[in-house]
Amino acid sequence: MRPLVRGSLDLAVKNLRGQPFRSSLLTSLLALLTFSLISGSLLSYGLSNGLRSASSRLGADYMVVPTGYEQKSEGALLSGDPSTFYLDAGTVDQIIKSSDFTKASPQLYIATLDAACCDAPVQLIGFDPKTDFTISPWLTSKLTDQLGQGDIIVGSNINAVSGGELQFFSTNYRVVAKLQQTGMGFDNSVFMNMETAHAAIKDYNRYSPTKLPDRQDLVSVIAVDTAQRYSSAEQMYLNAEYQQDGVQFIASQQLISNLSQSLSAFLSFVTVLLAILLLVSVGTLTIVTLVTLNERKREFAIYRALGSSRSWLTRLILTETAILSIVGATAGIVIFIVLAVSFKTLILQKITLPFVTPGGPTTGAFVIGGFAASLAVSLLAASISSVKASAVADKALRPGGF
Amino acid sequence: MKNHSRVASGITIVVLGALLALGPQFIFKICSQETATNSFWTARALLGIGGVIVLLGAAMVFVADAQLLIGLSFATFLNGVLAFLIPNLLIGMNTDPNSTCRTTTLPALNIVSILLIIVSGVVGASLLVSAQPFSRRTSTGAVVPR
Repeated sequence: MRPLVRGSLDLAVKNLRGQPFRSSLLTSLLALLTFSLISGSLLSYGLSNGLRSASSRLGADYMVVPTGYEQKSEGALLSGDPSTFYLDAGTVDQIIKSSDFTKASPQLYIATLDAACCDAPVQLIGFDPKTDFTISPWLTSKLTDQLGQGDIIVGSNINAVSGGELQFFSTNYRVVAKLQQTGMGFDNSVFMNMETAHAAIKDYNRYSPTKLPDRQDLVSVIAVDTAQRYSSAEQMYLNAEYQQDGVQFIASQQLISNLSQSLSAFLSFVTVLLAILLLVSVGTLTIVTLVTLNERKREFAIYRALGSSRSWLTRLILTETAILSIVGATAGIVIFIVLAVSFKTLILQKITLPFVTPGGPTTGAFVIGGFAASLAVSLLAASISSVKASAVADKALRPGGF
Repeated sequence: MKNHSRVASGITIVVLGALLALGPQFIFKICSQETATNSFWTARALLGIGGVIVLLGAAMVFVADAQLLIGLSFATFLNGVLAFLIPNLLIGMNTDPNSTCRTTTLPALNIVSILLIIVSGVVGASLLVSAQPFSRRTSTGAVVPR
């Protein structure tokens, strides 16, 4: 296709400015389309990506939790909902020493209070750095020293940097490291060694009306690995074996498969919605351009009478649509960037499923993709109607054609 | 400036001013109603500034004189800048990064005040470009009113 001469481009701009209502309506539609395409596809990508490696992120084959606290512990593991629950001391010892497991590492959960005492209500997790195999792999940088008394490691959503301080209850803690984004509860948690966690419990008891047991052997969850790969038979065996000890074995695989089922339904819903939006946009743009053809037939007939070719008319319509779609898609991208940057924390808080924020290059690729899709959709709609434009103009030139 | 553009700009400013005044109270609510918090006093200050902006926007709908419109848009622009500075610098908000004050109220207020600055800036600039200058210089160098 020959490029349009400058005069034709000016003409297209003037035509669009002459119909401000129609132009702004179509621009808004294209802005909405671009915004929905980018945000919908980034949401789907972040959720799929979050789920893909969620199994490895949980790190252990099973999490041993007190019976009756399965829901609470799943909430704490997946979304970091602050919770406080404990295993019986004798059971902890029995599981850690059991030959059923190749690895076992205890963790102690303390929910900080949503009050003036603390910088933010988060889940404090005490862990044993010597036996740990679920938290350390997510450190952004290797710890230079042992995790000392009063030292903490923060999840990626916690607003603190290495070397900074955070206050929980009446104590200031030194941030020594930060975890990578895991897309799960770890992102909203703060980690410390067991000694620091026990000191935090003493602090907690000073502030909270509900007192926690202040024992040195207090444990909330044990992360365990078995020699064999996960099987439901093994899980049933373990649950039966330790039933009288008041514990439940939550299998990471099972947690992921439950999540996967609910997530795939949600992702299908998002995909269908985006497909419907694309179809509606093509349909609306085609209908609007076809309807306006009729009211513009005199204008087109004048162009033809002045010697314009059919292909020139087609190019004019395509140029008008291209301008509208570039302006609309750019507006959609600007709205997306403003809302995504401004409300990032709120969005991440509201997504309670595993979600990994796409990086800069990936986001850029989706933005360019959204822009290209909007441009393609509008040009497709314009091509359908431009085929009819020349015929309408020629018919209008005949006697009685108007 | 065409009449419909002036009315549309005035109505936009009224809506944005109303959002600044009432948003922190009813729509994107602040996280604390305790008088000891920065968020509470930020919301109070914005109630006043938003109210003034609503009046300025309403005046733009009814005033047709170009010079008056330039003054009104300049006043709206300065109030918009003040509305941006109050939650971010002058009074501030709750410091907890996960509170609704930080995740919802502050970004919403920033978007509204920046839109207000842009709208009033564009209106003022377009009026300044199209309006007649207040005076002109003659060939002898004397400045005379138009």
